[in-house]
Amino acid sequence: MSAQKDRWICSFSILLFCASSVPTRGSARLLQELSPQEYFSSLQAGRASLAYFSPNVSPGAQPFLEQIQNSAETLQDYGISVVKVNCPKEDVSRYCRREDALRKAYLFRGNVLIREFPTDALFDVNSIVANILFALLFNEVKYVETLADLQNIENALKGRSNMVFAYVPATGTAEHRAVMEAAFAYGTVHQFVLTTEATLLKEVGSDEPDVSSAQLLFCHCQRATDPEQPCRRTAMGQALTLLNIHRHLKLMGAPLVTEVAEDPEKVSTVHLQLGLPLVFILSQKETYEADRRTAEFVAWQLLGKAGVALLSRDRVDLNVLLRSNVAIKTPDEGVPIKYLVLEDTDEVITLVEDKNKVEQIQEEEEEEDEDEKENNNQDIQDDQVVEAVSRDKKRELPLEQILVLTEETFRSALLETARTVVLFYASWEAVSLAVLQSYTEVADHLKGTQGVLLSRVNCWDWPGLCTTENVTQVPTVKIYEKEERSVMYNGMWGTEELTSFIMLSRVSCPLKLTTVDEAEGYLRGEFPSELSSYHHTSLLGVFSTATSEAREAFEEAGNILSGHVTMGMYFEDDALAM
Amino acid sequence: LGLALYAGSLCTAGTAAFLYHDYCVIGAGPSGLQAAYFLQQAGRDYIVFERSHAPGSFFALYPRHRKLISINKRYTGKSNSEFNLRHDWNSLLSHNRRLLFQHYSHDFFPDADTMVRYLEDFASQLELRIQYNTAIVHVMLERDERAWNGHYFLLTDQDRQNYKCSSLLVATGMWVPNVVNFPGSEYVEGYETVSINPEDFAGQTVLILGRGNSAFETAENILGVTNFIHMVSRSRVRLSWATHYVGDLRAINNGLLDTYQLKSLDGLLEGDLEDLAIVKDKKGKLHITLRFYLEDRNTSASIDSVTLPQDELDNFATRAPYDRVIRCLGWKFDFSIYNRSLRMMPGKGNKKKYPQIKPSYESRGTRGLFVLGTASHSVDFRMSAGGFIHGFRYTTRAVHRLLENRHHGVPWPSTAHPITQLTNSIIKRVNEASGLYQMFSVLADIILLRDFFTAFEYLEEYPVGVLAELETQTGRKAPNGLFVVIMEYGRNFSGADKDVFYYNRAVGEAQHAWQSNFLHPVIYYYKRLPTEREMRVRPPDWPLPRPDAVHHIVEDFLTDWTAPNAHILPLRRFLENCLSTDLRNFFAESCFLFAFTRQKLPPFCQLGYVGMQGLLGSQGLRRRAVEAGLLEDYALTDFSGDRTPDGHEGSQDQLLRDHEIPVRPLQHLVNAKDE
Repeated sequence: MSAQKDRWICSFSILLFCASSVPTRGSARLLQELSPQEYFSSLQAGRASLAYFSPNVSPGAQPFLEQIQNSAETLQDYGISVVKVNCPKEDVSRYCRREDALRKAYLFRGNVLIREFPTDALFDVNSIVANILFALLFNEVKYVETLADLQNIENALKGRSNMVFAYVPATGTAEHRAVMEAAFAYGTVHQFVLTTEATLLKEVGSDEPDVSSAQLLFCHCQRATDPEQPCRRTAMGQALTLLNIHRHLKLMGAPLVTEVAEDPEKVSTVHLQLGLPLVFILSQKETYEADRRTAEFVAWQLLGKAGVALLSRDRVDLNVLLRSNVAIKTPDEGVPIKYLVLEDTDEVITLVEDKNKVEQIQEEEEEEDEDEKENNNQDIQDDQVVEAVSRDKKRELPLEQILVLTEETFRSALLETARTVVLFYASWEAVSLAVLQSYTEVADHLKGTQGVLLSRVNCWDWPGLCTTENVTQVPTVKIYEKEERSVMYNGMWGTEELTSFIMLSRVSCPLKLTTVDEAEGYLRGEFPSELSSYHHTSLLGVFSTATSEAREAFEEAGNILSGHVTMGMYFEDDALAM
Repeated sequence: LGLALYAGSLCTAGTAAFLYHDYCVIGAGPSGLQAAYFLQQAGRDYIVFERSHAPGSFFALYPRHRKLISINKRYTGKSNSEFNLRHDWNSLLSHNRRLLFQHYSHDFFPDADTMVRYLEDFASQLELRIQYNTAIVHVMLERDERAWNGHYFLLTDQDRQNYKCSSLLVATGMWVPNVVNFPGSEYVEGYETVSINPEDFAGQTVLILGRGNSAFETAENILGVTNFIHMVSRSRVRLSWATHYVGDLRAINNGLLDTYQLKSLDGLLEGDLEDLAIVKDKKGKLHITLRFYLEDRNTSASIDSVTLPQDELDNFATRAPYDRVIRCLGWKFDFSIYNRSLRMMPGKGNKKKYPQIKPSYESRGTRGLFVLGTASHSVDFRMSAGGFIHGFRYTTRAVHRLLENRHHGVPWPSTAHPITQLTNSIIKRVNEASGLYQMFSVLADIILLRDFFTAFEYLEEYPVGVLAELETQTGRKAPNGLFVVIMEYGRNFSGADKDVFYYNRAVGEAQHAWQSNFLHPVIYYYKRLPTEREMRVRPPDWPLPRPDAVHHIVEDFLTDWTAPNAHILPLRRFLENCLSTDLRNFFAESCFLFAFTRQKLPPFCQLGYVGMQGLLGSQGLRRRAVEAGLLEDYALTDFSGDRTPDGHEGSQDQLLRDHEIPVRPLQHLVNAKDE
């Protein structure tokens, strides 16, 4: 960056040196002084010369003469000689004689007078060069005043050549000179159009143009195909100096997108030579068409600010990340190409337009990478139940033991067995699928048990049934007793717990014990025998026949605790003996 | 004095003669019957007035060619009755499963006679109270402080019998044919009377005015026998598959587009019907000309003296004379029966055929007067399905719920759930709910959060247009913020001139969900209920004002939003971010560990495990969780033989790292599609 700047300053100083030193030295030498006869006889066809007639060696050198002398060297570069014609006193020839001779300078091509300039139009070197060239380049530089004129020129050029449209606030300025000098060089390549009309600038384009400063637009008419549309324009963002215009035209002349099939480090284009960065769009065969469009789009956006090249990955062995899609090469030597991953074309454009952002974007990229990692974390399933179920989804569950119930079969199924266990679940919901797995294990345990039917209802298929059965969330297990009440399971979702619950709830709670033997067997866990293998808490209530109120309370508790514990109840006459 | 006496006598005479009901419903069409059903279920005092001798008199005549264009899908591969209603556009809502349209017709596009039969059955089997042969010819107001709404509605029928009601539900539909008057419009036949026998059109040249479904239906019927058909209307044809609006031209009726675009045989023209004029020549042929050619002369002038456009422009498009001109311009609401004091005003612009109503379906002019059914379509005209049976059966239910709350203190039905059920509740509804699906962007489910986000209330199918009035309209409180679950199409997807088949029209990845184009669920989060002002100044075409956060569930080709990673996980993350809570499920073992290592348990453990309802999970599943590095396997050593040692390390880290919900600034979550 700083190296580049230094170089710029360096070249500028040389230029300044040239500009300031050469004319002063050369002016004396280049300005010819001739008599009228000598002058008119020296005029060659096709050669332009600027002459001013001095009736006498003037007593006080007029400032304007000084300026003409100063511009002589520059004009010489354009093949225009500057001649001071000394009119002898007795000379009454046409130019010497005239009253106003001293206030005019005359431009001849051959011996044809092209224009005469009042001296106040030639107030300094800039105005002299500008006006003289303007007069000479009458065909190359069209002056327009209205939008219609401009459009006519534009339309005439479409498909043929490009146009350089310049606005200068006034003629005879340094900018005007720069435009004319550029036109001298490029006038045969591009059509130059000049205006001093601020309104025209406003009509042409940029929303709020600054009419106090000169502007130059390059109009790409050669590519324009649509007769209705104006040509695409690229404004030159910099001050109107000859160097800048030259640079701009050079850039406009460069191909829009360069195809690169070699090591990008070795690539050099006009842009790099002119101190602009080069953006590579990395492409591959499969996406070539789309990448080419992207590159062209970006190139149009960056025209005059950076070059765009399409780098084919397939043809160059690139040692960069596969996901990199953009690379940027700065004109500074020794700075390696940066490879980036950018989301959209806007980012590419920002990248170039604000060079400072390059670093920033890189940093952000890194942050984004972190973000992405975090995002990736966000994308990664961290719910252990959901993940376990989805990893297990290909396993077929042994569901043969479990009857599938539907809205139609539900009621009738409940009537067929003493106890129907129903698992209400949803086939998309992880927790219910986890419970369904345990439920198959329950079914396996209870295989062959009389009076218990295991069944399931998929609430995703039968939402109405689940609502009627008051199932507000899944999973839910309910045990329906034939033509009686139903109990909702509210214990742990585990195979053993559920099995035990189903087994315990098969036994009436409380269980009426009729003999002392039964009661003792009950206490030892041997009665009822089918529960002997299930670990459970047992309660025994012993009631005298008189204590009916306590017995009722015990029975009520039994209803609630059914499935969780066993409750025995003994209230025979000999109860007090126990 | 005379006036006072007169008024007094009228009043006394009047009250004696008035038959009173809490609710009066005008019209026993689909929406009237639907309203009657809900009133009956709620045990309300209501009556339905029907001018014809049977329900659904509109369907007895229309559509003229008898083919309904509302689909009757009998097979969806699913048994979910709620889901199946998404593709059943003809049934009304009831508890009686026999009263589904699929039991009445096997046709995908059923016959209109079947609809009449269905409506008759619906009315009789549900024993709805309908008074037939009663045409209400006048409606006026009677001010009374004691009345529900500060006034009673006084209805008069064709026999001068008077009725008095506290609330008036207008379900009259749209039955007054739209007519355009221009010179020569007397030669025009109306859709309501035109012959439906194609043979009557054999070898004729026909001009049809209008470009709606009735126009194309008419054309479809005679397409094969006419010389050619021209169709003229003010605006371009709108194809329903491009606009996603069921009221636009449906593919079943668009045969004429084929012949127009393929063979330039028939044709469509755009032009203002008001500028038109028709002149009949001696042979009875009808010539199209322009109104301004006729302006200086009287219309009865003979054909020879009238300038025809082709006299000046010899390739004028409709220079060929027509044998018939048919008007198919649709219908409008019958405004004529309402006294001026009811201020039943026509809508503006293209809604002028509809009465002006609020998003709550209540008339803008009169409190207590609700418009139901097709006539209420101004709320979602050219957008959703509120003008059609499959849409207004739900809006009618919404109106009924609003009335229950307003007049009977019955709050909007809701179910309460623990916060652990939040994700599931939303997933369940977006996958099966029909009301949300049909009435997209109009009806929405509302989730009201309870204190400390431990539980929530779920309200179904509330009209979002009156979201700001939620508390007064539903009797439910929303002090802790709310979620709104709604379905939407992509913002710039639908439109008459849009290409809906463009490449990459659908997105698949969850992160691009906000760019979804097809109907997909969207969840809005508000920290507090939006105000009426916020509702009013919301961007046009947005169903809701800017939320604190919004989440799109990515569109799905099967409209099945149950994929664990693409649908449920992003939704859960969104909810977690909004509520700063952990909504994951855990096996009991993890909860056990948390109980010792954490001060606060995730809700799933708190509500399940701590309440003795932990999820143990089968061994196989727990092993899967260990494999995934999501479960510590202390208790699983007995089958840990095949596991790698570093897997152990990893899983420990994963689990022990306190699961902190990365609470991101909420604006990141707001993905406005046009940004």
